[in-house]
Amino acid sequence: MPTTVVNTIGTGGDYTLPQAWEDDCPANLVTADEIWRGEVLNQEFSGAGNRLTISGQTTDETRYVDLTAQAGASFADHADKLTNPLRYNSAVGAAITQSSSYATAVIITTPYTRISRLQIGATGGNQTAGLSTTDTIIDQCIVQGNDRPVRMGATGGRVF
Amino acid sequence: MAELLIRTADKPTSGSVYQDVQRLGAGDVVCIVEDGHQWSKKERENPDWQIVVLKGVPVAKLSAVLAPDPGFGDAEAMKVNRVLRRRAFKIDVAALSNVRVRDDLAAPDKAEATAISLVLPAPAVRDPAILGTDKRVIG
Repeated sequence: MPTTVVNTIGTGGDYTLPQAWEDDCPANLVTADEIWRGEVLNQEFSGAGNRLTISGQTTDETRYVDLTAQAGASFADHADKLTNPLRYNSAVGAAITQSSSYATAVIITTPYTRISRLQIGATGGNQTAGLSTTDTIIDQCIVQGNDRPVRMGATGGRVF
Repeated sequence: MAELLIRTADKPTSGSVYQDVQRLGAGDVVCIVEDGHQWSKKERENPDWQIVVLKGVPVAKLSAVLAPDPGFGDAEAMKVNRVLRRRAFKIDVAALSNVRVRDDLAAPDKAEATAISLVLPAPAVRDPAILGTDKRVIG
């Protein structure tokens, strides 16, 4: 039974930036027998260029990287969740966005990664994307981009 | 004004070149933030990381150190070129232990030039499945 290692991400959390959380992940989650879970606090991570890359970890179906919003920090937890417009709005929950052309806010190449309850955006011009992913489970996320919100590899992923 | 979080140690190898190029290694910049950032205890105390404060250097001047090889993250491009690197540039971490370099990085009038001089192109990675890189493999 894998151990779930939970860390918070954001100001005052275990890591202040999602990329630092990702880089501290064991290279091999299978031998570590861990699920590496990051819980994003209710804040926006913004800037020019790619904000988070999840790649290089050795994973399997039961030991994987899992990025989500902390309980109460997601747009899905917001008091007006039933009436809020379903579009990127960092005022209603944890969010990651980037503003450069030819860039992607979140890149995931590690198989079996799960990402949930987050807002991901890209506001740049040409070729911007919110999320680029292969073999990822995307659950309850808002992904928005000027050019294309999600770029998914041929091996695909699952979107709920 | 910038602060860099830099890896000072390689991650363990996986045995696959294709997977290892997707991991950050020694000299790779994990992230750049505006100076005055309140790093967490885990970030400050991680033995594999070093935080470098660059007085007077705008974040935008160094954003290239976060750039991957063009096409990294694009599943189609990564099928064609399986050794696309996660970072195209590295920081010369050996130089960071030099006292004069550290002094220059802390001096607002020298920090930018010194920081830029520490940026090196990441070494090219050969694809072992391409003819010529591994004599046992043809094609």
